[in-house]
Amino acid sequence: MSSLTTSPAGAPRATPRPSGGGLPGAVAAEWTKLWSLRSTWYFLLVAAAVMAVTAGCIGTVSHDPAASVARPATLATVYGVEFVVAALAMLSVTGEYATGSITNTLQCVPNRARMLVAKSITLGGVAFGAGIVLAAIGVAAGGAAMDAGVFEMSYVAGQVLAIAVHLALLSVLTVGLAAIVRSSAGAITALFLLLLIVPMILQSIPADFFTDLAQFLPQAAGAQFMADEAELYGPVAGLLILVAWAAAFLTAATVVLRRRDA
Amino acid sequence: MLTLQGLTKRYGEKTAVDRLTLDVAPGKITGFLGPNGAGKSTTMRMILGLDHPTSGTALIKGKRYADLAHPLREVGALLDAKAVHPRRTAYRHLLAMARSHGIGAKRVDQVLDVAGLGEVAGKRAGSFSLGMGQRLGIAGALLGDPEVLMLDEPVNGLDPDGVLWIRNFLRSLAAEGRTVFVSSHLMSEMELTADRLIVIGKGKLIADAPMADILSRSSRNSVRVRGPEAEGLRLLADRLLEEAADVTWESAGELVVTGLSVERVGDLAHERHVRLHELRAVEASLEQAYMELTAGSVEYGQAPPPGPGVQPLAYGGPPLPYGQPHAGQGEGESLVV
Repeated sequence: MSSLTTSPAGAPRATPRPSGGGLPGAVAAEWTKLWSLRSTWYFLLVAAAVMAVTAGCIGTVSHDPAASVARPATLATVYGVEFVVAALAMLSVTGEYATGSITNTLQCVPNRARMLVAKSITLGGVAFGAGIVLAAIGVAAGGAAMDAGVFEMSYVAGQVLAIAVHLALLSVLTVGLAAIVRSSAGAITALFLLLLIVPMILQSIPADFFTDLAQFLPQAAGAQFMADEAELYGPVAGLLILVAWAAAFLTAATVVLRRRDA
Repeated sequence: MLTLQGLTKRYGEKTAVDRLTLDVAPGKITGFLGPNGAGKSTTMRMILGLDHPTSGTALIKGKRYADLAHPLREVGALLDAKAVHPRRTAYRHLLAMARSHGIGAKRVDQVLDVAGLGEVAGKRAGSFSLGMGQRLGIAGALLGDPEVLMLDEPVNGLDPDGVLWIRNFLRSLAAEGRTVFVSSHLMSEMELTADRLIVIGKGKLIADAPMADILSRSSRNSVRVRGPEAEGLRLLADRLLEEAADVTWESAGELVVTGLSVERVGDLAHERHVRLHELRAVEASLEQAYMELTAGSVEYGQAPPPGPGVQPLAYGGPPLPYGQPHAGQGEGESLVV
């Protein structure tokens, strides 16, 4: 690595007319970065294990013969798997701040909105794809563990899809949140506050307003979206509320990143 | 081509970069010199749009970095060699950069070879030494074959071999007509590399001039005069003082004159019919010139630099504006040489 005689910029000049780049380029770069880290695979394997174990456990204690075999998978997503998938999304941002490689990312994609959207598409897309597989694992593990359950193909397929969409939207939300917070510890804290602690506190306040408010936080909205019957406002409203949360965090992150020094 | 216009960065009370106005021209190596904490890195970060200026602008060919459609094809920058994910291989790191611009994988292999990292391309960046990290950063800077190269302390951590490599490398890049902007606090390195020097201290522009000018204007440029007749030398010294030169007696038969050219001293000796045995110009090194320039603007220094540099630049010509730019006066303009 020492003796270097090669001519500078390295022989022929790169493609004369610049092409590529833009949002597709930014997504391609994020995709390359994501899969060039071994930790990505570890997270997905852990998510699969958590899904199998949690859905299995929930299945064994489910004794409602009218329940769908997809029910344990849905519950396992809300109570376990989503945190592992969200952590992967979080690390794609906080990992770059921790290592300082965020400056490199912003050198390649200086447009803050484009960078965040590229991360969202990549992490959301991976969460969606992985979500299908994870949900299938959950249905298999949960269904096998139940002593009785209803297997209706179209319904189960809908639930699998819903789980994947939920994980994708939560990943997008987490990308935004992580970009605002920057540190892993801070982002994990903020995520737990948002998903678990704040709803609990709100529901413990003996006033209808706060109890109702808790129903509109991302975790409850996601649960509504994936629920089999319209308990409160139903799956469609649940999906829209979750989309709104993800969009809000992404927008806030864009504003913050534009104003803040990297 | 880089253009800074009144570029300023303030952190609360502290002004890190203070109204920098300058151009960095293509086809040569422009050294960006200043003591630690002078604001070099902050300036470069503002050029790349990483930090936002409090006021002023930093433009690349008339555009802000964030507005460039293909920034890596315009500006190749090495800021911090450690700003790479340590668990990603060198190849993947560069490949991700390349893909963001639709640059092919072939180019990645090319720049890895140019930077001398071909054999360690598959190794994780975290296992690299500082020198290898610098090479990786340079490989990344070259990826888009940019017209502007901006390197922050590129010789940091390089072995002598690597330093030589960088030096020749930067020269050839400049020779190809590119704009090369290199920061350093190592004056000796700049003396060998740069064509033009921009010196800042405490965020302010102290000097912006060709290397040769900065060297020739240093008060440490002196003329050594030795002669056998003490009386004659005394006559010469009186005459030199009339010309407003600084004269120091090294011994009874030896004078050191600052502020006049060697030709002028020789002429004056001739005019006074003084016998001389030696008449020699002693050139200041950049290091000395730099110490004079930055005296008083060293952010984390202790004592002022030794020698006459403290009350500097006694030379025959018109007073140099960069002589006492930091007497605490608020007016920051006209500091340019």
